[in-house]
Amino acid sequence: MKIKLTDIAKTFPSKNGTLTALEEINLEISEGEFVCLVGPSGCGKSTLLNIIAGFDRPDEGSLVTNGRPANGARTSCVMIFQEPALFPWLTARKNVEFGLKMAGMPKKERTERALAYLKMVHLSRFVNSNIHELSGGMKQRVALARALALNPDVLLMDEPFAALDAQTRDMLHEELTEIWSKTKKTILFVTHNVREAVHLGDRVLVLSARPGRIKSEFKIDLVRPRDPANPDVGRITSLIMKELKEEVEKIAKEEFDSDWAASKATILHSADHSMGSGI
Amino acid sequence: MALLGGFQDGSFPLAILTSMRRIAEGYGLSLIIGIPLGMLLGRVKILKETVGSIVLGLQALPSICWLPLAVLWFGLSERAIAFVVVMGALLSITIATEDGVRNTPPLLLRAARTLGSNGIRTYLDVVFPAALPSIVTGMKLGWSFAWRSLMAGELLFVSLGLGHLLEVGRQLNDMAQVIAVMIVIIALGLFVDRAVFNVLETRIRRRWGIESA
Ligand SMILES: Nc1ncnc2c1ncn2[C@@H]1O[C@H](COP(=O)(O)OP(=O)(O)OP(=O)(O)O)[C@@H](O)[C@H]1O
Ligand SMILES: [Mg+2]
Repeated sequence: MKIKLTDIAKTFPSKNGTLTALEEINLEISEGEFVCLVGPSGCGKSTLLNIIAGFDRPDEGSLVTNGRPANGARTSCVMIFQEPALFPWLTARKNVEFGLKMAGMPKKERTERALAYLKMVHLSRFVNSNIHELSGGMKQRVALARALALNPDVLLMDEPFAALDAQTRDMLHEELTEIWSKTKKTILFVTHNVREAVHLGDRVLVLSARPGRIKSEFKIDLVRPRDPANPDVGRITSLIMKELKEEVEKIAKEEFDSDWAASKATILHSADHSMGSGI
Repeated sequence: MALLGGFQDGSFPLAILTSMRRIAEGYGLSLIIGIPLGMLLGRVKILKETVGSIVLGLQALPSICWLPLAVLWFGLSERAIAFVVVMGALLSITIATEDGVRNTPPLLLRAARTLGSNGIRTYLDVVFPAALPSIVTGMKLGWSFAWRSLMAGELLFVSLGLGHLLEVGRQLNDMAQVIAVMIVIIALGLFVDRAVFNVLETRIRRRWGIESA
């Protein structure tokens, strides 16, 4: 599904007046494209996903999907969160069936479908497991299967792998890439991890610090699977990191203000560290 | 000795059965009313502000204080006892259900929404199960209140239950019987609490991924 955002703006009420979370967002995503979104914390990434998912309404601007204005929540755009958000009282299979049940699909059909998607995420052995018996990576896979089972046009992923350990994350990167090339879903993927964005996306967008605007955009024209040791990957990663670091610094300056100079070195070091981890 | 005797002459089993039947009825009724009421209170704001505050206020009243009113309404009857039992259990079940409903993790609600669920479907398929751990805790509390209310209620007239047996013991000046009946009451109350509610609570909490009790 093609998504077109025109002049989207969103403000929230806050203690001292209003907070402009997003401003002048113009963005076009073509069908089957894998777009990654990076930006400093609080710049409005989740807000943007919420608007596209129909959870939130923009104050200004328009959202057009497949040439038609979109409003209300819709299962053509399914969101995946940082936490798996599975229903603990259901088994893995029943979780995957949840959306299908809501859509009124007959029992037999939805069970078959759930099994097929759990197979796609390599969880065939765990279809009848309870959620608390699964590891973090397995839970996130169930969440992925649950979203895919609805056959949405768009997957909206909000830092889906941020809570996972590095090895699990690597594995899920491969699985997601594979699923994406198999199903040709349009994916909008939010992350703090620049290497992750470069590894996965066709395009990486950098959002600026408050208010969130699209600061810059990088096309990643590299063949998959992408090798982190490839010099092109390294070059583009450091370019994006530099852009992002400027924005992170801006926020840090606002928040730490006077003692900014003193702590600068350590903050930059740790920001760098977390961005690079896990790849 | 009195304990054994009571079981041998059949007076204890009969009293236990009578009391258990009463509590099953009263407690069952509390569940049937309390859970839907709590679900409604947690959902409909105006109800919460009106009925909800009344429920909270009434909870301060020991349920046996309903007995005079119950007797005025229903006479010295089964109905009066049932009423007291219901008043004992109902409020804590209602309050716990409402609490569970209001504390549904927002993330689960968002997940339900993105998966195409809304309104009453979300309420039945997400909010209710999410509230179950809290509901079971309320059920457990409700059980102990109901049991106490029943015993107090049975004390007051010829009711043939365990409470009545206590009163009979007193009238006969038979301390051994009184103590034996007390032991039975404690044992039954504890048994249901441990064997039913604790087990249920632990299982649900584990499954729901709530670590500490
Ligand atoms: N419902 C809300 N009410 C008020 N303010 C909000 C609300 N939702 C978000 N905000 C504010 O809007 C800004 C953007 O929030 P958002 O969650 O979109 O950021 P983010 O880029 O996803 O951050 P992070 O990387 O930490 O997840 C933040 O400053 C946040 O405090
Ligand atoms: Mg966010």
